[in-house]
Amino acid sequence: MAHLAKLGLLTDELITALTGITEQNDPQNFRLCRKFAARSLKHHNYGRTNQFEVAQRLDGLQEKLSILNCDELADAIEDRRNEDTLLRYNWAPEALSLILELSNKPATNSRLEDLEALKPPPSPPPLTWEDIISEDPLDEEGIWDEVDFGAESSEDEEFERRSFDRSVSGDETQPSSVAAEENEAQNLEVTLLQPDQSILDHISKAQFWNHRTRPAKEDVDLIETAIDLSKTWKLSEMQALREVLFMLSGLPTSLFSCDTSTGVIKPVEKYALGHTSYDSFQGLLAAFANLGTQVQTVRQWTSLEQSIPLLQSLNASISSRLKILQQKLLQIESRFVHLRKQVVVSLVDVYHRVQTPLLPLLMLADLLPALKETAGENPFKCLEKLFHQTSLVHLAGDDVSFPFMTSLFLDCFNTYLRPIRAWMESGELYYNEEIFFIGMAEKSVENRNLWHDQYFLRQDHRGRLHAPEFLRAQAKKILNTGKSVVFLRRLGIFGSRPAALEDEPYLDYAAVCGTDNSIPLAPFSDLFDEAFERWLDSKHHSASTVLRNVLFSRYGLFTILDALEHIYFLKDGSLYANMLTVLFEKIERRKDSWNDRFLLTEQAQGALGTLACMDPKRLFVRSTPLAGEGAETGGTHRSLKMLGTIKVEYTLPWSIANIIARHTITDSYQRVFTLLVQIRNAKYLLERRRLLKTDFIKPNHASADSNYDVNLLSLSIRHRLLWLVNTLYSYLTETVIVTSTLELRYDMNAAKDVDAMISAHEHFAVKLQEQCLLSRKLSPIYQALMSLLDLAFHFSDLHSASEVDRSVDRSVLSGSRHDQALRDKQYAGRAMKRPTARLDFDSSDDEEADDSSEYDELDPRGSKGSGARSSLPSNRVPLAARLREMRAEIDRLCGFAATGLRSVSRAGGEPAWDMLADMLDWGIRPTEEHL
Amino acid sequence: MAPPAQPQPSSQPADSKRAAAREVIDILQEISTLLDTKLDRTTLSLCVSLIENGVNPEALANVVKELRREGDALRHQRDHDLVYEEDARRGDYSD
Repeated sequence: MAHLAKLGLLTDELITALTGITEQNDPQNFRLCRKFAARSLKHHNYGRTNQFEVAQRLDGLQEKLSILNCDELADAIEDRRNEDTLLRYNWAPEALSLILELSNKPATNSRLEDLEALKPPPSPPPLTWEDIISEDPLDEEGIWDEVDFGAESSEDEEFERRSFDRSVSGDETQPSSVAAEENEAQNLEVTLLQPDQSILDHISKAQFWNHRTRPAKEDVDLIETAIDLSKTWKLSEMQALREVLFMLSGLPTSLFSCDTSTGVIKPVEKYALGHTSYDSFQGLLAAFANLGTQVQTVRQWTSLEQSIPLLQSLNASISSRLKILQQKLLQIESRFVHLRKQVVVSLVDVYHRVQTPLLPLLMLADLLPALKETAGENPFKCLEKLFHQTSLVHLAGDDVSFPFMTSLFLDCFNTYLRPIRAWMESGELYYNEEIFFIGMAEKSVENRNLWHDQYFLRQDHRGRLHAPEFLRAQAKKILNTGKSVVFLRRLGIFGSRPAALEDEPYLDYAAVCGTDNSIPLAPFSDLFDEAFERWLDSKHHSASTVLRNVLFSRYGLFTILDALEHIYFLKDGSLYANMLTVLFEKIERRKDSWNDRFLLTEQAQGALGTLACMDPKRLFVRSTPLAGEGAETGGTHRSLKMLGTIKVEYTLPWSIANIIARHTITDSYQRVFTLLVQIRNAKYLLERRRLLKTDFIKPNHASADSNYDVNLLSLSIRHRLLWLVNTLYSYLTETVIVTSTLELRYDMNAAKDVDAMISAHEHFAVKLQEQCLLSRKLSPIYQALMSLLDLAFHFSDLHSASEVDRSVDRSVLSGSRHDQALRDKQYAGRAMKRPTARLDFDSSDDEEADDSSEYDELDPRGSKGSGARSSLPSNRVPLAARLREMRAEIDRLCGFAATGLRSVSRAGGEPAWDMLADMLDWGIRPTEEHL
Repeated sequence: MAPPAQPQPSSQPADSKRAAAREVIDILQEISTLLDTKLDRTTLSLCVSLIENGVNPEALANVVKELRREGDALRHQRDHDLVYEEDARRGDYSD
């Protein structure tokens, strides 16, 4: 309201200033103006003043003025704009904006002379004393006389003054003013205290260092051992005791001399006690001096300026201990000051009393030079020394020094904890290489590698962690907590410090060793580890738990694992069925577009996109070109190789990509996917090769390698291969993948931090690879199984070729011209597209042949087979032989794989392999018996 | 007797503040004159006070322009009335 009222008043004044009307002389118009002004000022469409725009407009105006030959005007404006007062004025842009709005063609209308009119008239010169005196000299009579200020005092004051005077002087007559002054001077002399000479003597006597007290006659016996008696100064034991306490407090004394360069304190030899032998007294003083020297060493160390934070903390801690010592010395001294009861003044007693509080400081005096030396090299070495010393004191059972050293160490350690705390709470690093053991990669790292590559544990040139020894075990945990915080901040979650981090236990003596007065029995290192673990847990748990929960809930780690299972492990086999069938057909027919990555991606997205756990946009399928396209290389069927080139990719969010590393996807997931697809392809081909009932009608006259035998052989091979393929697929999906993924989920749930999740996933990937026989050490077995799959492909090819032969054969017999033409065409097409039916496993020299030669070989009536295989019946003989050879090869490979699996299983491998070996054997035996 | 009143410690900053404000107005008035805004010192001070109270300078400039126009119109009207009265008194319009 006050603000509005102020605005209203200012507006009224403005109206009056601009229009000349007031509320009194023209109320109607004034009200109209006021209403208009209030409305216009309140409701408008202008934005906030932009200071840069105002500056730009003024610059433009100045430039315009310069162009119009008004340089002086432009300069004048520029000068005023650059005035300090205006630059400091907060509302300058707004005021200048107003002036600009109201400006009226300055180039033509403005004149510099107008400024002169603004100048105020010159003010009169200030009045000085010289002017006053020159006008009115101070030479009047009586001008320097004293003024009686009391002349105008009130009657009451006068009355009081009179009554006071009366009370002082009684009924005597008032003396004259001069006499009164003399009286006052006398009164002052009376009030001054006269010094008591005896007290003064007592004090000067007490200053034994100024007044020599000669040894008395009765003392001579006692101090006869002293050096020259004539030079011996006697003092009392009380005086000596006080001097000793002063010396221990670090004060200069007469009884002791201090060498300023070395800091060594020595007793002054001339003093002796009256009742003690000189040697004993000097010996005792030397013992005190020794203590004093060491305390002085510590005291001097604390007075040095330290630049290293750890040493500053140590300094502060020692200073506080020195204060405690001082209090104890004062307590001892107070016994001799407030003599309420009889006290025995004994230097020996004091020596025993001061020894206990001095003991830790004496130990420290020995330690400090070493500490300083190590701190210069590496600040945390100083902590290590303190830790070591504390452990030693604990082992020695020194119940005086142990609390002292522990507190000292913990004070320093709490300083060392600061960067650790900052790192664990906010993920901030102090870039001091000398102290902190966590480093940050110099170049920025992608978010997906944030956990792995951004931060690292710093090591020294020997490869050891750049941290105090007693902290090394926890370094990883500290690193992980900080990384969790950084991770959460990158996720935009850890904006402020969580409340849970506030309640950290303070690491002091009570926290480490408990409140019991006696020394704890457990080793100090264990006690410290336990306390520090609690301290770490207060931070580690909250950061890690928050991150873990975020990854689970917001970023759906399990959902993504689900998606990966569907994509790579064909969790729901039916989803992929259509896509794979089309793919297998295309490969079989050798369509060029089989590996069209856009089509494959679209098919995969269509097949899997309906799943709730999937984000189809993240799914891509691509195919790398096959080396030696069109050729069968390395003895492996081309289709197998082709399937191996299909790569499925699922883009993971960066937060999850830190856990599910890319190499696990390519090494394990992708390879399992390829294996599963290859098995399914083999199964698809085998199931397509059907044998009719008519093929198994036994002929009346059985000849060697008749159709019947070949079909029987073919059936047995198909059966074996189908059994093998089904067994293998079932083993992979039901035995390996299901259990492994369940185990992974369990481990992920149990993981306490991201590192545990990563290791759980790594473990899963390695184990999966091994169980799927994809690891390097199981390579021979894997190769045998691949050869079996290879055989399945070849068998399919062979079977197709024989089917074509038979169909051609039948067409010759039928004699229909139309059908003949049709079948020829069909045959020609299939023959061109059919991959070769090779069974000569051992002779792979010819495998580098090009497509045409491959097709020639495939064609039973081609140039290569023109001699023996010129007619269809003659072609059946090698087919039967090939089938037999194939059967033998299957037996051999199955046997090899089963034996290999059994032996690996017994040598500490997976128990499931033994089972798989049995299954493989089981598939063979009945067939053998049957044949 | 009460001790003589000491000079208030806050009066000095207040004085310097007032002097600074005066200097600002001086400079602004100079710029205003150079740009021929036809604002006298009082009006300028009032405008600056209004701006310091949060009034938008462009809106204020509009108000100033309008009030000037209104003032001119009123003045013109008044002059006209005066002439009319004078003439009426002289009897020019008696017919």
